[in-house]
Amino acid sequence: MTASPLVGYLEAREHLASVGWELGDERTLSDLMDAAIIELADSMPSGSVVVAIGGYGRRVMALHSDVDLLFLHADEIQADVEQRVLRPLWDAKLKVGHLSNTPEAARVFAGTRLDAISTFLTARPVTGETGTFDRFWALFKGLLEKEHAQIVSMLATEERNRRKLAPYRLMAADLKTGRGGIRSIDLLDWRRRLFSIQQAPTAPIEIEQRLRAEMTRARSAVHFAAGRLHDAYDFELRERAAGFLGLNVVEFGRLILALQRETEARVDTDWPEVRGGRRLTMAAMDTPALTSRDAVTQSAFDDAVAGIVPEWSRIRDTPHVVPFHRYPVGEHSLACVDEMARLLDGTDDAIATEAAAAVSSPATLLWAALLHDIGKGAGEPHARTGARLLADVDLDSIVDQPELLRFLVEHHLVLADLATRYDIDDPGVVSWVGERFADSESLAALYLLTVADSLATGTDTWNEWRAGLVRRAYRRVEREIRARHMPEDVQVELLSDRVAAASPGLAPDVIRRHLAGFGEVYRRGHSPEEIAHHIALALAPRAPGEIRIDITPGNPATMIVITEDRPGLLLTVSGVLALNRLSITDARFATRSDGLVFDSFDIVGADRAPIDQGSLDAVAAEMTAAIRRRFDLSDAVHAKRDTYRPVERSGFEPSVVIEAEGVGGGKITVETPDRIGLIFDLGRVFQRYTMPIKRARVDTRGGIAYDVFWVDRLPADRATLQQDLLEAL
Amino acid sequence: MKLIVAFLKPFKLDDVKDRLQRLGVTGMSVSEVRGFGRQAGHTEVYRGAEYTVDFVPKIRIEVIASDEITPAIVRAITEAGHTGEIGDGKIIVMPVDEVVRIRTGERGEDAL
Repeated sequence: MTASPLVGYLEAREHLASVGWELGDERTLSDLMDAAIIELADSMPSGSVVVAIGGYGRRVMALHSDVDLLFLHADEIQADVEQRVLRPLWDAKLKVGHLSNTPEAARVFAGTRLDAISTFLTARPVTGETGTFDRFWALFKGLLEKEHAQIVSMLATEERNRRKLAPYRLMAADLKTGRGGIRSIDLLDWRRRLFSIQQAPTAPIEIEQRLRAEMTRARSAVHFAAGRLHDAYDFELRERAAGFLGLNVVEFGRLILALQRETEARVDTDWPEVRGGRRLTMAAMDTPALTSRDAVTQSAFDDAVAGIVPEWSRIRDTPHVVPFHRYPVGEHSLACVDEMARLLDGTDDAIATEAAAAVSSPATLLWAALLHDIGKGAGEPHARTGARLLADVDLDSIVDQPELLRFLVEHHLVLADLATRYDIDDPGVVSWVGERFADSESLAALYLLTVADSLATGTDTWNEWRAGLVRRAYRRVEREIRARHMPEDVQVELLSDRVAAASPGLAPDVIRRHLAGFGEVYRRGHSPEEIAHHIALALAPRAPGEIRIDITPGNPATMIVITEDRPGLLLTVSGVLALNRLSITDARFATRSDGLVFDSFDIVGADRAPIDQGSLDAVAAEMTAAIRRRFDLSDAVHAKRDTYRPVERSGFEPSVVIEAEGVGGGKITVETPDRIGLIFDLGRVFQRYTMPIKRARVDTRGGIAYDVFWVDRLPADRATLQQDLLEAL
Repeated sequence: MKLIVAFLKPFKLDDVKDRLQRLGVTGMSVSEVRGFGRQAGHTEVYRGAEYTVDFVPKIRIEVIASDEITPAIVRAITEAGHTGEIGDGKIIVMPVDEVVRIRTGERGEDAL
């Protein structure tokens, strides 16, 4: 016995679900549904006709599309006949939308209801009395001719409202009714059909057919993932939907975004009336092509930006893969520009208002908002990659402060990171961050970018909890920057008072002498309590060559080494720690003017476990002996290192940045996955170049070491030094 | 089984998460909360004006674990969340009567 056409339709759908979707399958499903309807309506009485409407009328069906039917009857409604068609469809759990009427009543029903008119525009008879359909179509055509202008206006309003209500394309986009979705293609099609009633079609529609077929394919993938009619590309469906088309999540995301953008570009080109209500207010920008936002299409805007920063084209349709990002990268950047514009105009956020007043070039901040994620998808960490990409861009032609723009792109995560992932009660941390800012204006600009970036990320990314942390971090760094501009003697005096308060037993002149022996980095990088501890440790008379090691237990434990400065001291200390399988999570080096070093190391055991007292005592003894005897620990450290597997941080490229600082001196910044003996290996390179380390900051976060070393002199050939350090990593 | 609730300084979350993952803890809920204990808020000075921040941002984590592994988890959180300063937070351990994995209906430690 031959299976019924309806069974054939259902089996075809199951087959597509198992083998994937090819372009053209949307028509195949529609044809199979036609066959099913023809058989089910076999006994239709004369004068009645079953009409396909909506997407089905257009012969386009996605995997779980509903079936929209219009039953037209010449005289009166034949409910029992309709039931014979509808019941099997309902039993097959198909979603069916149906309407029964005479041609006259159907025309009245349509009236000026856009949903009915648009659905009827694609009507076609499937089976039954075509004369009844012709009668309906003549009446409907009369309605279209009479209300032509109003209907076209309603179509334009719908598209304009879509853009107004959803200013940016979403990651969880509705592929049917969302921006650049099938509904936008439908609007173009309906508009063309309306015009074709009065005159010949205005433009070829092959592009729209292709866009519709490709979007239907994407929509079917989402239907497959959801197992039902569901058009929102929700986070939890992404992997399964992408897999349905043999793609990964990023590839599928790019496909959807490219289709949406092409669709919107098509609408913009073909239908200038809907361009109103552009979503960007970038009049503050000085670039002519970007100032008249209402007059240009999104494509023109994108082309103008890409003309200046070619990488814009790459991130424009790049999806985000983490769930908290509401928009894809390009849309997020546009949203960030809007948020920045709002902040610059003034908000309830008192710090933002003050920060906005401190900014001298709003255009620079708008561009920073647009380009802050330009490095995404081009290598991690993306902020640094972005700054590298912008190094080759002629930013002078678009902003007054190109250096500030590059700085903001490179550091756009610093304030948020500082607020949530660092101990901002640690003066060393605040000092370290403060060093990155040239002045208060750059901090103010970064605060605004941090807020705009968070607001543009998701609905709850900038909440009071996070805002409180970021504001507190901002205040700390702001205070730090202001302190830098105080006269040195005032700084010393103020700090002396705080050290005295921390340790009342210390004589004021001893404190002042100690502080006068250091530069401002030591003063800012240590708390009053730590400085008081240093003074107490060094207070007792010392024998020449004496090595004092003080260890405060904890996790991390803090080890302070006080001795005369000598070449290779860092190498010895880091080597002994590595041999004991201890990791340095933080280090601060300082040399007093009398040649005494006060080096401080925060250390943890394997897997960041605490170190027991016995081991700490043993390390202290071993350290003293090694410093005294100046052992070469290279072979032992490398043998030890080889027995441990480094933490896997795939995709993180080690980097070494060398910058000149002061007269002949320099700063070397290293970022790399952490491992046993890392400081030791870097120290060997420094020693080979006979570069004594003046001071250093070592930090480890999420398995990544962020180390900064300051040296008194840099070699002439910095490129070779950089290469040697990279090899050591 | 036990429900372990901990209040931490926000910047300690990564360290605590790393330690718990190494212990084999596969699930954890995290929420952003504000509150005060003996820390009782803090005073900020901003542009010369001093004002008090009443509630301090904290991270609240929740882990459900078997009785056997609970002491190790508490130790790991204590160590990883420690700074030695006021405001390091609290750990609360509570008995759990039942756990059900909604997807499969598994119960007890099988649902962890």
